[in-house]
Amino acid sequence: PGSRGLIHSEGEVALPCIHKLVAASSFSKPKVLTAASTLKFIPEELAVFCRDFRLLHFYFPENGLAPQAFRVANAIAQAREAAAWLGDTAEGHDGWSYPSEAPPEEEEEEEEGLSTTLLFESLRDWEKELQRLGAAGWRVSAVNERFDMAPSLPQYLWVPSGLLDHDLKRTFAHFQERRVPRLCWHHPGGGDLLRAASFHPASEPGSEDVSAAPWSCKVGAPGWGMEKDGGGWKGAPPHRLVPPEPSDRDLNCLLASLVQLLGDPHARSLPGFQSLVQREWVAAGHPFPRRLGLLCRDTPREEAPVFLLFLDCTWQLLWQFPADFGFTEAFLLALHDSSFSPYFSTFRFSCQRQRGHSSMVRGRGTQTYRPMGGWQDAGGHRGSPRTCTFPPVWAWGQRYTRQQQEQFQNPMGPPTPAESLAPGTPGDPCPWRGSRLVLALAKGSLCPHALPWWTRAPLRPPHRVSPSESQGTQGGLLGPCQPRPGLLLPGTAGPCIRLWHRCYLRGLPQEQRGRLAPSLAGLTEELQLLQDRLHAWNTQRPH
Amino acid sequence: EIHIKEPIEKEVNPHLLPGELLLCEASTVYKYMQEDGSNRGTYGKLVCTNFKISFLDDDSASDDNEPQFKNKIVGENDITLQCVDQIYGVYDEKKKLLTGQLRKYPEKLIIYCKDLRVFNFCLRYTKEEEVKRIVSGIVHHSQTPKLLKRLFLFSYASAAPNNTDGRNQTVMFETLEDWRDELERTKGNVKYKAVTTNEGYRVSERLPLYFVVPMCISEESILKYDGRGIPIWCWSCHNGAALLKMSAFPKEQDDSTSQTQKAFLDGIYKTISKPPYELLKVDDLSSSLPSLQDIQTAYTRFKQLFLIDNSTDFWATDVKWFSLLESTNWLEIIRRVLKKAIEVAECLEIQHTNVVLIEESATDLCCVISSLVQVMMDSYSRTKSGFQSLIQKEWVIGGHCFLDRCNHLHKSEKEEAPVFLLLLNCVWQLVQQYPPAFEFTETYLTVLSDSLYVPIFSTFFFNSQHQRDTNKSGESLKTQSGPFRFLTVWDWSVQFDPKAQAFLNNPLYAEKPKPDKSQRKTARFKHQRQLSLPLTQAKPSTKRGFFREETDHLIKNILGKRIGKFINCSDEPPNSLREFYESWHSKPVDYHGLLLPRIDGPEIKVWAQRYLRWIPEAQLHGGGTIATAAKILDLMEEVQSLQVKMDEERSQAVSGDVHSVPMLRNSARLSSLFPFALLQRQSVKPALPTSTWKDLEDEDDLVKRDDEFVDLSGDML
Repeated sequence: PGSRGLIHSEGEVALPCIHKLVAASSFSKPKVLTAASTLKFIPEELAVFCRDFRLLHFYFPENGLAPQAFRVANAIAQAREAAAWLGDTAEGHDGWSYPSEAPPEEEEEEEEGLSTTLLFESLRDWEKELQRLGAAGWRVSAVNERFDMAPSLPQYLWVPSGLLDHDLKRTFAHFQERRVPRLCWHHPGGGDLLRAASFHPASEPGSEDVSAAPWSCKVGAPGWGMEKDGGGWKGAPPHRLVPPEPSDRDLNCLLASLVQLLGDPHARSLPGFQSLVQREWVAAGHPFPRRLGLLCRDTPREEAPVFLLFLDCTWQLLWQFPADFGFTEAFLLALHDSSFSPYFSTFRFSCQRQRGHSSMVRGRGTQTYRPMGGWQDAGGHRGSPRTCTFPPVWAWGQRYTRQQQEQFQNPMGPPTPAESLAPGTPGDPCPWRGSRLVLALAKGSLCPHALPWWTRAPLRPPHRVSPSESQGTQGGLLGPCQPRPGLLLPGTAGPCIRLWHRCYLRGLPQEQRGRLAPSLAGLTEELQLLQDRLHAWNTQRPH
Repeated sequence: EIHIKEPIEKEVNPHLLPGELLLCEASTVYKYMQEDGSNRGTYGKLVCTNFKISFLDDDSASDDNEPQFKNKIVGENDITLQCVDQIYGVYDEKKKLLTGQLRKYPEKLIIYCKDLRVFNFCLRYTKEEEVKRIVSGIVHHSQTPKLLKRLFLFSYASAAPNNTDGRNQTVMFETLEDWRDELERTKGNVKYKAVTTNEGYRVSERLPLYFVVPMCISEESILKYDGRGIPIWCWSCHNGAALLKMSAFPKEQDDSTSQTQKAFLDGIYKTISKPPYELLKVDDLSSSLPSLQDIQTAYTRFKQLFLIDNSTDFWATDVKWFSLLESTNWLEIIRRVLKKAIEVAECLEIQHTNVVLIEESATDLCCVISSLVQVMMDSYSRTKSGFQSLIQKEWVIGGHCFLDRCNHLHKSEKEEAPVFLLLLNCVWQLVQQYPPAFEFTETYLTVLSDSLYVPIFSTFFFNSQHQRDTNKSGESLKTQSGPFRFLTVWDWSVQFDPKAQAFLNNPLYAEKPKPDKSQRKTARFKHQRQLSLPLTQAKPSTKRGFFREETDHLIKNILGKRIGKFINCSDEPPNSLREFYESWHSKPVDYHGLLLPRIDGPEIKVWAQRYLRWIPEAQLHGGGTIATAAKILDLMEEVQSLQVKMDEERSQAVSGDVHSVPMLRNSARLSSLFPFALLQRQSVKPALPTSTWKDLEDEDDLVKRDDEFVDLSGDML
């Protein structure tokens, strides 16, 4: 069975997945092949270094095949170059078309994962998620529905209920790439996580427009939540701001999603994680093609494995808290692999606008607006033969067998995934109740919001209480100092950080074997077997 | 700055073992919970006995939350005298090592233990004479040279009622019978014989009373050089090839002596390379492995990473954790030892050659390698009783100098080397790589390593069988009770009650399939458990051998180095070792067959349970391996109850080989340090960033912010 989806065997590699091509012969130095360079010798060996850490090594024995070796090597180099598209503007790229004769949609295969994954391409998804979070005081704004407010932002934004679209519109210009502050996540205790780009250099901080931005709006009744949860999250900011990363398209994605992984059990379920990636990376406009280096070689500086860093961080958490995740390492690896294989709308585009745009241009040739359906809507437009729609990476059924997909599920994961967050328990009275403390993350630490246009004196941050201090002395294993169930406090000390073997050492066959030897999956299977037998035995027996 | 809570005057008495005497004590000693600057802690009494240093918590009397995993002999606040590694005194904020005579007495006492605990005691509120007595008492009894007979072992043995049933499955190798049984078990009895030549220690005091040599070795030659130059049998492989060890001749200045010795050795080699014996391979471990000195140096540096006396230090060193770890060289030593063991296994298994391990006394690295080889090749050694028998055979009776290597008597630091710990570390690598192959858990290995310092068991407190026998008889003056009857560490009930002992057994151990197939098909299923990732190809590719080479290049490439000439790969001499290693790894694991450790760099890990268990910073709430283990135990329990049910259904009274499963159910979220995290101590990374962020921040800013934290704390409380 094909394990890499469209790539069917260990000997195959998708052209964009080739990192480096090296030819060697006994008469000359090994040479790195590119489309531009010409091979000046007949290669005896050809090594293909893949981005997924595999290495394909071919040897051409000298039995008359030499000219072919020469041709093959050059052809691969050419083809690889052709495979990289020129830029990530929607109109610019060519050379890739999904074989439309064989529509990929296999309707009969129910995509379980996909149906529960929110793609955040429709208003409904945004509303549904906002409801799940129970973020009172926030609403979905469709102000960017035509991408005219901020091209790189999604169509829908979570903004304070009290902020009218009219006022919101005026704030866009003040932020870089017009990426205004918006809600990412609402903590059940009342804190909010926001993200935004930093101020546009031309912005006037004191202006009226800016003070209308979400954080300066009164939102709900900020409560006391984070602090009680175990102290990892430094005080109890009713609001917390992830920015200012200048662009809001890289590290903000990383941080916003990591915070949610730690705090929200739903994000640790398989559909929840997919929705998270979809919202904080895909819809939020992480420039995947540039960062993954899938474009032509002229933009090497823009390459940065931000998303892969996120996957590694997630793996660290998974490794540290094996019982808290609904998905497995196998799932993360599948995602890692898929990121180099640009057949998915997920990784091909830099923002939602582009994603929709490309399918629109190719599909219908009209500029009229239609809701971003992407892949989901594709079924409806099958009539047009030139439809170029890529499935989202979450359509695992197309590439992985049912058996393989079963391996994505963590058998020891949390028993009831995806239950909605309970509203924060009314707990200790908060000394800051009613205050609107805003902390911003800058240079690696949280500090009180100290932006010059802040109209009130910034509140002091809460004292970083050492948990043990605030919670009395010891309380046994189940004592009161337990962090709120559901909150993960990862170890960040050196000994807690590990090398993700299965990912980085994928090339080593022995790395793959028996790594999960005392397999829970195996045990679960055995349990099932025993239960079945017992059942069969009972039914067999005449009563 | 210490919140003085009036100490409650309450009489707390230390719990004393038979033969244990209270030597000195001091009251109103303040023990810090954790030296994080918060000064939290408890008052109590610090006592020193002839067995341990003990802190008696004033409030401890009413302590009713008993931990699930508790040592009956050494409590949470007990440090046996042999377990003390180093003692530091703090004088005006300066740390000074305390040894021997003291002129000034410190305000604070920091005790570093060999099991990696760190205790901080504040003596500021203690009466001056008490401070003098307790500090000099502790330093004297734990740090100064001692006579063997002054070990607590002897007082305990003469005072304790000896009612251990002694019925232990562990083979002690004290009798000729034991050796003969072992020969029979391994089918070595065709070519090897157990000899009685050393009765009365005629040959050597270093050698055990009974041992096994090749049939053709004469009594004369054994006696000729006090047993040197004689291959002594360790174990026979299923194909007849044997593992032997030999103590080498010391380097002789005199030419003629070395000539005769050489001739003697040649003669020996000749006789045992002739049929029926296999070919012989000689491996001089002193040249092919790191020296004991290197091992000691590496371990000293390594353990320093874990002997953390305050949180601030921890976070300060944490920034450089990976490079510090690398610089200790300890993991590299483990890797070299494992590699050597694989080499030996290859000779025995594939080349059918006998292997003679040579070392000066044949009681250090020989023990490590021969034990490891047996753990890898003989599944019996991976059961609990088998492993214990192995330790008896190779180490305790085999003559490893535990007293000197652990420096129990503080005689000479030069002799100290963690050779036995090295073995445990290596075995741990195997245990964590192949958990189902072992009947015991890593917790077992951890408590075994702790037992090295508990002097109520004779196991680790003699240099040789001879030393033990001569001291056992009680020939010294005032023993009226006749020969001492020592306890053996293998009687785990001395230290742990049955509930705690359950943590030593691996519930996932894949027991050897029983021949009776009709009865338990599930058993077979269980042993073939093998998980392959969805992303890997199920069938092994034919080019696997090659592949490894390629990945080496890949890794080099990742590191940004230039790729070498590909062509060279084929020029390398055929490396049978690598072939052996790789062909084994390309096949599914048979947990009852040969087991080869993976020795690629990233595979060698830090034994987190042993080394990190007291460090709250490394704790994960609800995480770590215990999270998996707890789930596994739940499942196991369910499987077992179903199995029992099925057996009942068939009305076949099969006496279940059901391990008792520790109950972890009620505790929903355990600490990753379980079962060693007794208190849920927590640590918070210091407010000031200690990492590279530091230089990004404005200094003044930091100062201001810190002030704010401080004055706000007032409002908080």
